[in-house]
Amino acid sequence: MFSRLVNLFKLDLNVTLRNALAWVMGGTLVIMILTVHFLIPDSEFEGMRQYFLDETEHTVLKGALLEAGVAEEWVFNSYDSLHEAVLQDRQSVGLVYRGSLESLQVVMLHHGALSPENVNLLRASLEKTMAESAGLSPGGGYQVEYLRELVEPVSNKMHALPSLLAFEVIVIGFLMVAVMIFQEKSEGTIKAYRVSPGRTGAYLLSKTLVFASLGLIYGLVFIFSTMGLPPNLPLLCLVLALAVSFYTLAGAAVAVFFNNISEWIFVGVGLLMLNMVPIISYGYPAFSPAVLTYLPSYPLLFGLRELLVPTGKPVFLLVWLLLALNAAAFALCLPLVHRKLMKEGRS
Amino acid sequence: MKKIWSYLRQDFTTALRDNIVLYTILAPLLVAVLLKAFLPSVEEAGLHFAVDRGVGGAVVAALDQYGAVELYDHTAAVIDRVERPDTVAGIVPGNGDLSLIFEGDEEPGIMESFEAVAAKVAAGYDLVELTTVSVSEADSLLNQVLFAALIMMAALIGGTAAGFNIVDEKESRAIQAAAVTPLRLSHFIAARGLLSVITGGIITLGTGLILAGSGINYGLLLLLIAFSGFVITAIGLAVGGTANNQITAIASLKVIMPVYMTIPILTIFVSEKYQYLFYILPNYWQFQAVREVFFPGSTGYGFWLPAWLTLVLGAVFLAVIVQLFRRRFQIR
Repeated sequence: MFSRLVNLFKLDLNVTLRNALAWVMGGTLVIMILTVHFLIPDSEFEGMRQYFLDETEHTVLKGALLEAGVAEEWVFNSYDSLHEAVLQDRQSVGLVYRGSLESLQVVMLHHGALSPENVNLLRASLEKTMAESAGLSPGGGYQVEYLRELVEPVSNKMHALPSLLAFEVIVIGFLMVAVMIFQEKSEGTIKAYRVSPGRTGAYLLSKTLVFASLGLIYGLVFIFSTMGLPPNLPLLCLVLALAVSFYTLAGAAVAVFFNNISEWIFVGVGLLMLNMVPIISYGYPAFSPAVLTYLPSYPLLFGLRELLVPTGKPVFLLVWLLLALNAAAFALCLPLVHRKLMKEGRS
Repeated sequence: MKKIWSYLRQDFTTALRDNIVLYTILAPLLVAVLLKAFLPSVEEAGLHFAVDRGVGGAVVAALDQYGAVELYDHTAAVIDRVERPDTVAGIVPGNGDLSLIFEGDEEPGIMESFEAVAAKVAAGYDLVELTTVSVSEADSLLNQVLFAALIMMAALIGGTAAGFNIVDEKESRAIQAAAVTPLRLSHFIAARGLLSVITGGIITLGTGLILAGSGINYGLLLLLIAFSGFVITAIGLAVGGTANNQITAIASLKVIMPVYMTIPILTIFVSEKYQYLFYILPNYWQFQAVREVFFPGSTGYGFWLPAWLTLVLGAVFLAVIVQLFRRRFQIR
């Protein structure tokens, strides 16, 4: 059994490296490395610019704004000029202060629509600034507790790495195993395999091992070329290999239902797109509907982030989850491959 | 013209027979529908609190005005919730006050927002009367990026449809048969280009309708599709030129797609002073023009400059692709 598996592994590895798929991996790897190095800025993305107009009695806030470091050209003298400036700059908001410090009225000029929650939030932020500058602490307060040590915000580059790993490197097995199965179908290799002493388990394990190995190398080259040595290399290797093998098994389970890549592409690419949806929660961490958290890419994405930029959260849970997912995917895939793929080979 | 038309008709027959083209037309429309359904809730997402019931009903009701509130019976459950991957702050009773619980890795801006709410709820002050005025209907950067990405994907699919047709002809050896007819390379490219533009145009219009309804200038969108014709055709020829079967076509597309779509999108995050590095790319200008169609005034270039540059640089790009792959098409 073991020597058969080793032979199959060598054969599958040769086939994969010989055809265009190896070039695709190489080409995509170069594009990803160049993107991280030259396109994604290190620094934080520049936020919204704030323009001001002080119409309070005796313009009491203008001096405070300038003292706080607000650029002089961002403090306007009339509502019309402020309105025009905000209108011209899509990445800006305008704040008009009216009334007195005791009874401050603020008009906020913005683009697009704001939900009531976000308006309330803006008001709370303005009031906190006012309360702090006026030394107000009426009616009690609040304390802040941190479950772990405070960590510095990560750069945009480091923030992008987990998503590139999760949605390019790790899903490589899902796409490639499908391509390989269709290639074998069209070349008649499956029929040849069926009449050989090979078993379905070895067939599946061989492909899983090939893509887990290639995915691991692909991922490590990408990580070494972009961030250097990661903090926990052994655990990262384990997570990468397990994740690629899970997606390979899932890819095989889907591919067996189709005869060629034309039939597969709609469902296959659709599933890959669905798998990518948690990237919204990754970019907007306040948005995490329960349905997104059930997708395997959700814990994977945040787990990879923790592996690359440790904050003290336990990552071993992710390993257990991936082991369970691999076991479930193998148990599902084995009878499917046997029935759909090997049965077809008999005909 | 007659030769081009006849070749185009033949292309359409092949395209409709082949699942890959029908499916790839439907796929971006489906994505647009999903995106349209999802996007408002992303944009409107407020803060998310995990709250110990012990803080009292008044605090819970106050927090409810700032976002989503999940209630728990004890502090340990609140901490469990805070430790999950998303950004949720815990609110539990403190020493006579409220305690705000963070993990410690949240973004500073988000933590400040949570603190502002906690301060307001705990202190109960009422210092500012806020009025909001929307000066334009412009959408967020997220909307701009997603809309432009979907429209560019629609155009890409137009090129892909033609590319897969070339591959189909290579596999069936029809291209060799065409090579011995009076068909010239220019006719072959024109037919492929028309197929790309028509397919891409249908998907682009469908995507535009789903995303923006009647809120955009469809005349400009149609013009942009026409101005993008050379770029789209070049993509089709690149796929068809590099691949000999559908599997290698998928492989080629996997490399072409990030170059065509990801690079322009990422330029949004590149500093103004380095933008000139991308001026040579037709897809960079196409991306700016798409943004101008959906969000006028969003790029600072207006519509016409990016549209003309898409056309001119696209023609240069197409000429390079034709030179690179003309031998592979085996047509004079």
